[in-house]
Amino acid sequence: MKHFLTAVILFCLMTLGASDAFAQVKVIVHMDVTTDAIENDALERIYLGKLSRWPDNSKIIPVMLKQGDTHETFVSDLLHSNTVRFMTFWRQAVFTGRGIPPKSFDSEKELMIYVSKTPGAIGYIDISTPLNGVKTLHLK
Amino acid sequence: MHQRLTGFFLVMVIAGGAWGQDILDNLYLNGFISQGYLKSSDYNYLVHNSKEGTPEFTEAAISLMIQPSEKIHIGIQLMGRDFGDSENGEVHVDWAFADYRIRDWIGVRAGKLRMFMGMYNVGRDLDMLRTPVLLPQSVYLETQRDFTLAYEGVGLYGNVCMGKLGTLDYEAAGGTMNVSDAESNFWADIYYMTAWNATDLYAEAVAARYGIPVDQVIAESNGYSHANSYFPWSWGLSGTWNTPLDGLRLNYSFSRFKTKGDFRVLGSVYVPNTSSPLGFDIYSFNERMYWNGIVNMGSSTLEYSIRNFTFTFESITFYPTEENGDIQKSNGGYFMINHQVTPKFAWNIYFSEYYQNADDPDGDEYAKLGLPRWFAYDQYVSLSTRFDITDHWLIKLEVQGHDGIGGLTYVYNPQLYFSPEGQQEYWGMFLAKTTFHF
Repeated sequence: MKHFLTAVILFCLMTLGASDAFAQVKVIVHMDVTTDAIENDALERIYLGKLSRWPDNSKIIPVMLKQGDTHETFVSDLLHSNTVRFMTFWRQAVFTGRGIPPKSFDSEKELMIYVSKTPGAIGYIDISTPLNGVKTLHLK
Repeated sequence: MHQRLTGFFLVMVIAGGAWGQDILDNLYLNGFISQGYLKSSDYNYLVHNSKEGTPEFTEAAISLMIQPSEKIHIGIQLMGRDFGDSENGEVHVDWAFADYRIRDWIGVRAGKLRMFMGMYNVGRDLDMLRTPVLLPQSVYLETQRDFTLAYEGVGLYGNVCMGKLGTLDYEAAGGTMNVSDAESNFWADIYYMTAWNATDLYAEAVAARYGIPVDQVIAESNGYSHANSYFPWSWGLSGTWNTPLDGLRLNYSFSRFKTKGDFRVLGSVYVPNTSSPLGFDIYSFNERMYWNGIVNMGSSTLEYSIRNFTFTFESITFYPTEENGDIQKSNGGYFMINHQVTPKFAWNIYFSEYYQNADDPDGDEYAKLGLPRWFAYDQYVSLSTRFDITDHWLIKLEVQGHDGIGGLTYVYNPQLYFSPEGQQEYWGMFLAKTTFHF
């Protein structure tokens, strides 16, 4: 049994060596958000429902994409997770009554319109998508 | 049972089909239906009929959450479950509470809440959260489910930022537990074991009175009746440190509760007597038994997620105390690897070990009785796969290979008590389960 488990662990370690392709996203916020930059840790806490206030004490309203490359990149590169783990976190919150997930959108266009109209909102889009009524939040 | 769950299913399917998740901006509806199958070799494991193979493994739940204001949300989940001869599909309130989040670092919940224990107890019924069909039985024992599942009372929670040291999620709980012992296999095991032991003692006393060897009398346990158990209070604390190293989380949870109860044990002893019209004398007994104790549970977890792998070490110690002194302490733990190969496929392997008596992991006490040492423990390897057919439908398959019988329930395997010789050390289990969720 020990040899079997050792083989499994070695297999996992070898598989860990593979690297994902790196793409980029930009974080966008409503124009009234007074902050221009954010720590990566704070971004993670926002999207896990653990940080709900901007530094000026106004409400943070995170929104996200339902799926797609931009969503996958955001979750892996900025939240340091993967889409399955991220979804599992929110499923647990919902099915145990402990939290309500961020509102999600089918397209970047819909997401950006919502962020532009909702004070305190934060979202993300592909780095090549032009801004429209929102501003970029830089990562510290 | 099936009529109860069928009606519940219909409501859920209509609800799920009609509304999906977010029925209004501040109103959320979710649910799931699961159907499983269990088949074990040699012994009945977890349920009374797994050796034959059984589909009596059905779960369904529907939850509704409302967020009337930014800081408050209220929710309820109704659940029906059929697991062997436990619960039998009775629909009950699984959780129901109001949550007031005062600040990010402190919030309060009141109502019926899921109990924390280890890293995964809160979501133990939620198939969509994991790859294995069942969580490792060394820590998440199905037989102890009744008093590790939920409490009624008040909880505090929050997330504390510790700067470069990461963040801390904490929970504190206080209240009571409303446990139905009538259909619980855990209590049934205790009651039956006590009844069998009491019958043996009674037989010895009767034989001594006649001055004959005990093997010349026939003892018959008639089980138990009028069982009641109470949990006047419970409390617990849990802290999860989200370390600065991405993906590394450490948890410690502790809970303590008071348990009281009573039941009647029934039995008869037959003594051969040629002068009696029946050919034997009959002695029957009907005794009331009590218990009054405190149970402590402490668990430690290390979870490390990197890329598509998650590694988990978890251990638990379960140590009841009784007014007359300490009684048996048990412990267990496991090491698990989960690999999410693609968003639609994952596999999982874990090694789990459980010891009935933490002070005698090698089974010395059994050896003194001339029984195999593997009566004292259950060590097993589980290999499972999960296929997410769609975003709302998944299928799981799992095989387990066990060494030892320390995790078996005696009431489902009475031969372990009555004829412990000739049992199998190695045995296996197959599980399959499908879940629809929305």
